[in-house]
Amino acid sequence: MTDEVIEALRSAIGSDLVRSSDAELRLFAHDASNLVGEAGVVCYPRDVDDVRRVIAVCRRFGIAFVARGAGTGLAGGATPIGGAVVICTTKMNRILDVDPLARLAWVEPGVLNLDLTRHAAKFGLHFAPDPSSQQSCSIGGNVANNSGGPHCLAEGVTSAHVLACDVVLSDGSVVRLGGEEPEPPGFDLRGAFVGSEGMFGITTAICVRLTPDPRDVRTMLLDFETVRAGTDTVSSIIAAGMVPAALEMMDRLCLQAVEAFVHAGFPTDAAAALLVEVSGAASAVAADAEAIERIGRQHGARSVRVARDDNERSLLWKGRKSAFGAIARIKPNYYLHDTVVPRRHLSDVLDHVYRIAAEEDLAVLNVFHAGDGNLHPLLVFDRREPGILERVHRAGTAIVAVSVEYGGVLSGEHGIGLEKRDLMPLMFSEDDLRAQSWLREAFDPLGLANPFKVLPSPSGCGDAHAHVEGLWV
Amino acid sequence: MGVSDIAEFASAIGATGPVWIRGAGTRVVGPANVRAVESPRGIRFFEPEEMTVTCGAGTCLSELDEILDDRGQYANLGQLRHPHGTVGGALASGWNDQLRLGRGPVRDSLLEVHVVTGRGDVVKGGGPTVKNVSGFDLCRLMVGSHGRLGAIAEVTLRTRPKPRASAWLVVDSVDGSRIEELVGHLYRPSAILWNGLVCWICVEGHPSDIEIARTELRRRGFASQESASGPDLGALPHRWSVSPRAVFEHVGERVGQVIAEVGVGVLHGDQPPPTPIIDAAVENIHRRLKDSFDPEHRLNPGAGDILIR
Repeated sequence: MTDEVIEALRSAIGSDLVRSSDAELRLFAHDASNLVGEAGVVCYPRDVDDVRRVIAVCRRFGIAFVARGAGTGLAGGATPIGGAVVICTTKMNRILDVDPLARLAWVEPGVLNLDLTRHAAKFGLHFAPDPSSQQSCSIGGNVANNSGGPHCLAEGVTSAHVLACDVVLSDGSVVRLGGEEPEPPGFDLRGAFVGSEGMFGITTAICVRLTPDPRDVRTMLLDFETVRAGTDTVSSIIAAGMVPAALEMMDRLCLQAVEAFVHAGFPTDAAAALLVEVSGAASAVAADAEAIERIGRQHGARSVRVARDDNERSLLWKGRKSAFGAIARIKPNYYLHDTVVPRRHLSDVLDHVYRIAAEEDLAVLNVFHAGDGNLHPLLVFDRREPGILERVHRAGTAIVAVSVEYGGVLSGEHGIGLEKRDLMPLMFSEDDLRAQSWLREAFDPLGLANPFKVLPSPSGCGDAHAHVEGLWV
Repeated sequence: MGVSDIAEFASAIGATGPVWIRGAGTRVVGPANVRAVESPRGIRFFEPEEMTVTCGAGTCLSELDEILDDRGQYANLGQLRHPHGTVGGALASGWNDQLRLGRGPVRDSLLEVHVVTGRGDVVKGGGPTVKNVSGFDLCRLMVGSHGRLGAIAEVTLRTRPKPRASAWLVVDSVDGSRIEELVGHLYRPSAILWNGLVCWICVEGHPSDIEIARTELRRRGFASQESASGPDLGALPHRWSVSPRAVFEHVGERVGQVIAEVGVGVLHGDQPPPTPIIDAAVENIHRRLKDSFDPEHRLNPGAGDILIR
């Protein structure tokens, strides 16, 4: 990054909001993935005008920019390439407006997911998308990745909860995509923008839908002697006409790691356990809980534990959501995967996952959103072992490939980013990818917004792909 | 044309000359001087435990509804507003019905789409699973685009379990001073329609929960009567949308002449809605999309022609 650019950015938004120390650039060279790029300079805009000013400098010097929220992304979406300007939205963290009657809120992109839910709690409302990182991930990041979470089975992922985004485009214009009104004229540009991984522009204000808190909740833990009995239970629950609020699965190694961490009484000798939550109106909750217990027992559930109170419910969820922290007890490093397969193939694909891990002599834990077929195999390893990264990489690629072979998709909620960019042809033809590049170019004809992500060359902006250090599939 | 005929459909559309994609013709009829092409039809795949269905865009909504209904499911394609027509027509128009408050918008139903662009290429967007963030969201771009970016050939839709029961409750004497209180007492209704005097509420779910809702309303001073359906919107042919915050004011100004979908922001009235104002930068995005997907502007000329001139 030249001094001239840094000086121009300092003049644009103020010296204290532009950082270029080695320590800061190292910190912002990656997100929560293993992929390390190169940050040129880091800017902390305070509002939409600051974002416009930063982008104007980028445009003037022809430099790419990368929006970054909390940096919890797992696919390298916020990893800057080749000295890009990082636009960090952490100072844009105000909840601008909450309307409990219309059940909507306007927030800045740096607002943390859980902070919005906590803020809305006094109205009996919450923000439905709940990624496992919800304590630390930002809503701007949720919009960029169309994030999911355990409770998205019934409520839908982020796109279903975003009404409008104010966006600064690379040409400097500020547009409102979507609106508070439900049927704005023209194409659904709001829908196209959500999940665009920062490649269409930077959102500076987001209007989200808030969801009423359930009247009643029942949280249950069912455990099984085989993984297949668990996945068959999932299919039978759905086929019986129920969509629980959440339907999560953990396998034995995961249960053991989690139990050692949270001491919640998870059955460590079970092959798999299902964490099922039903919520809504009281009679429906009671009927669904009873039916789910019956279906579980028909499939050989060894026990059905129903949380007696909020404390026990919180403890069960703490186990589920802290699985990734618990893994540190097994090995110091992990690689978390994210694919989706049709529910009816969950068992077969899991068999392949275990086989692939065994062939590479790797430990694998599975903790995933079984209800929507969203697998999250965790390969755990110690990166100091010689040759280990190659084995992890091979196993990861094989897991993605087998998921797609079974009619699945590359990613359910982490996004493509850099991690899976070069695997896009597994799912999409050249014509498909070209159409996606048209969509991007319609928003960002200059190609300055987070280039080199999602679209493999030559479908991307045509630039040579820069080298990124790290591990990806 | 059969379900496996995406290639045949693309061939019929070709790469030059104006083309109109003809569904059942229940919503819009194409210009007489434009060549019409019909979409592939038929159900290709339906597994209840996947809660997805794959079908040709030319499949009749009634055929789809019947097959899903047999297994206790439905696909949310705005059938209450427009029960006839084709799956492709429902998606291309993106028309939502009165149950949007509870069931969500039509656009959330589309998981995977195969379209033929104006260039004659077959393009796939999305994926067949209920959850997917692989690549940019071409599905939502296509819903409501009136076939101006691509002719929908085949789709995979999310299905939902049918509610165990549903009921329309009609509450009289709900004026502007009481509507907010009424809305505040309802737990996730599927629809709230209000004309400034009368409120029609659709509640869906377990029969006991519906009864509890009715009892709760009565206890709060909102006695209701059950009705076979919501309000007759036949006399209110115009429809437009505003912020859900603004509906109370709109209805208050024209009591009895406008019916609002409370919580959603759709208004039904007897007068044409105001012309929407389109931001120039938004219009530029539309134009670039159109020029890329259909450079000769030959797909469905004139359909949904709000922005593309």
